[in-house]
Amino acid sequence: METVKQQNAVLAAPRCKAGAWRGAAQLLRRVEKRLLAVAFILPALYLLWQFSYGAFFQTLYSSVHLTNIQGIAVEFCGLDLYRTLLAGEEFWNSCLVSVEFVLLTVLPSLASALALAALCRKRMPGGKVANVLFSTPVAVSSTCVTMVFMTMLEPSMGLVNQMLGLNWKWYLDGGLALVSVAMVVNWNLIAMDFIFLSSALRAVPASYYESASLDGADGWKVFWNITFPSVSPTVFFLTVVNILQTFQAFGPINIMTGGGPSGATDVLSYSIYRDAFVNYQFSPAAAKSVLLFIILLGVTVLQMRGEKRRVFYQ
Amino acid sequence: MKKRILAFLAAAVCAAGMLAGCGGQDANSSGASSEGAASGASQTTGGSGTGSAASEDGRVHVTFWHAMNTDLIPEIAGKFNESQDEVYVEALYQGAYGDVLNNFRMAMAAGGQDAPDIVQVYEGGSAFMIESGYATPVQTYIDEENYDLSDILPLIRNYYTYNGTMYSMPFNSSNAVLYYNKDMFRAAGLDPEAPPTTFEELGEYAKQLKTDGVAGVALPIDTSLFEFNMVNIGKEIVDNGNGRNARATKAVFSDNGGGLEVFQAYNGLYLTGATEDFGSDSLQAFMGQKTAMTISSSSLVSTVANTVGENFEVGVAQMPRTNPDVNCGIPVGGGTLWLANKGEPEKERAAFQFLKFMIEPETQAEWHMATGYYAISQKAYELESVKEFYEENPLFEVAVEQIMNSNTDAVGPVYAVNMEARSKIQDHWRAMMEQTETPEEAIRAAQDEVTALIEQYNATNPLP
Repeated sequence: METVKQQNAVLAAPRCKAGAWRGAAQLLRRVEKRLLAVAFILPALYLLWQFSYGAFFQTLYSSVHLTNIQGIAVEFCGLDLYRTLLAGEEFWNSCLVSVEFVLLTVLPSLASALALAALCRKRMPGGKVANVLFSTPVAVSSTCVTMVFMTMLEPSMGLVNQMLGLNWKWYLDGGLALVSVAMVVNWNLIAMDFIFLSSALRAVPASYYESASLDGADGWKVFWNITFPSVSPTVFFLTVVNILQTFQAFGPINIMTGGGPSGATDVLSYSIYRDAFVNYQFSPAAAKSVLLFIILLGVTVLQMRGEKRRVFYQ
Repeated sequence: MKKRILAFLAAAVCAAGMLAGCGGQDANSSGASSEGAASGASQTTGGSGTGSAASEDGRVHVTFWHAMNTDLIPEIAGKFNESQDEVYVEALYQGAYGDVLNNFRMAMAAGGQDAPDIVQVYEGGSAFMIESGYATPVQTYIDEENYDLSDILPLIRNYYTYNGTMYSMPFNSSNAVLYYNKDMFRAAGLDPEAPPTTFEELGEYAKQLKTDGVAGVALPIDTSLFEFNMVNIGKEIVDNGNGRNARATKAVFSDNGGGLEVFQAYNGLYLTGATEDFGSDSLQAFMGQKTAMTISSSSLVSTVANTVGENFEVGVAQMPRTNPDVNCGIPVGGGTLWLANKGEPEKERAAFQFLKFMIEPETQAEWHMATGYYAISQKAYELESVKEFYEENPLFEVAVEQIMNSNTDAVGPVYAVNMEARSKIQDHWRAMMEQTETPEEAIRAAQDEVTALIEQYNATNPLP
């Protein structure tokens, strides 16, 4: 027995050696693969850290400290800033305005984009031109759009008032300011939504429509029973993205109204900007950012839940 | 194996490229900018080359960030560059005042390598510049060169001197004036050469001028006007000599009665029913003949004259007083030029040469006539070109007369939180206009809020 074992051991020895080599080579290859993966991930990770995660932790840190005029944290203050924010009117006004703003942008833009996309689905003369026209606004910077809209809406010399014979103050009027800004944001949003929805509509099998028409379904029935359910994942996706976008949109507000008059357009993202870059109050801005983050997280979670119930995937 | 090595290399190159992309301008780009600079007087408007103190052409390169959307600034810089061969100034337009200050603040907070050597800051940002330590007082070089400041208008000199130190070089100064439509005055049977001088008269005139679709007067809700009104009646906004003798500790504009007087004057106008709120577009409303009168900055005289053209005859008058018996004058708006404190005295010295050029009578005269900002150099008004100019363009003289007639100590407040304070005051002002707050309530609440801001600021920014 012994000898057999020994013999086996002797026989096995070279095999083991070869196995070890192979193992080592395999390990090396695996390490190399890992390293390669790391090397590919590193640049992205670096950028993400630098611009997203690092900034996020910096914001958390700033929100529990008071800063001096140079923006340097000088004193730990715990949750005082959050308490002040939640107790004050300004923050809640901003929340309310933000919600109004989302309603004024997301619903109209999705509805009009869907209507336009449904119209453009059919082949008709000039359809291609319409397609291009409806989707180009996405390529125009929102700043330019805002400037053009401002010139058109200008109360005393603007085109809109003169053509319609109105005497409206648009972005200067407390009641109309938010609508004016929403118009600008919609103009960009519709184009983006339109592109997504048209491609989603194109993916709907033509056979559905054929059988529907054989069954004698009319336009509205077709829309509600075929078109809308087929694009509902896209609509859901766009709702999430649009809400996140409008919650963070501040460019047009900064240019048109500066949050005014009297806070009528003071959405959260703009009030954060104003705190930090107009008033140089970095800590309240950081605290507001954290609250905005929590709100958006909540909105996203709610939407994810809603999605499971309402959205129809093929 | 080879493929893998290649992949590795590719990843490494990608990473390196991105890192370099983030790292900002290195030797290459500054080389490019000095090359562009060496090509003559033509000014580059883009890029942010930092340049080093000693460059190939032997000149000290100085960058200058400004907020004036006009070709005149690069032109003036070009003239300066041609006038001597020691210093080369590159003028870069950085957007509106607020943007310039923000960009500057960011650049300084990031270490200052990308910050300009000279930055133009509006009058409301002065306290920030002083307290942040981001600026070297121009006084340093005024003393070093024994430079004579006596040509600068005394009020301007006083306005920008805090505690005996001049921190920045005045350049573009303006004040508020009344713009009025002479044609509408005639149509209403008013004398176009006798514009209102007090708020009471302003209300009377407004009532007569108001017609269907045209307001009597459009009043912008702008706290810098409130500050002008306060100085005009000799009342302070904050304590410690309007923050000029020592750091302000509280707002006093309600306690000293001045704020209420001013707010009541405005409220009196609102109650006539002849005013209309066009917010920041008041001047547009005036140019579009939607209001017969408005109050705005004198720096826009040339814009108004050019836009209105032959449509109607524009009148410009001194800003009406809230109190007929008191007239301390109307102080200073506009901006000044600051030396960035980047620890490079050589550059600061070079930049100071340009600052001196900017306030020379000829430069100031050219600037005055092209814009409507008044010249801060007294000798500028003795130049033949300016005298001839006034014969053709009498509107430009109003702001000058107004500043000449002001007390030399008619200076406004200096305190670090004044931008935020201005918006607080504006909110209550608007509430008063909408008649949701009485003048008493509005001014009281505004003072409390501003005091809270000052206290919070002082707590987080202890004096050394």
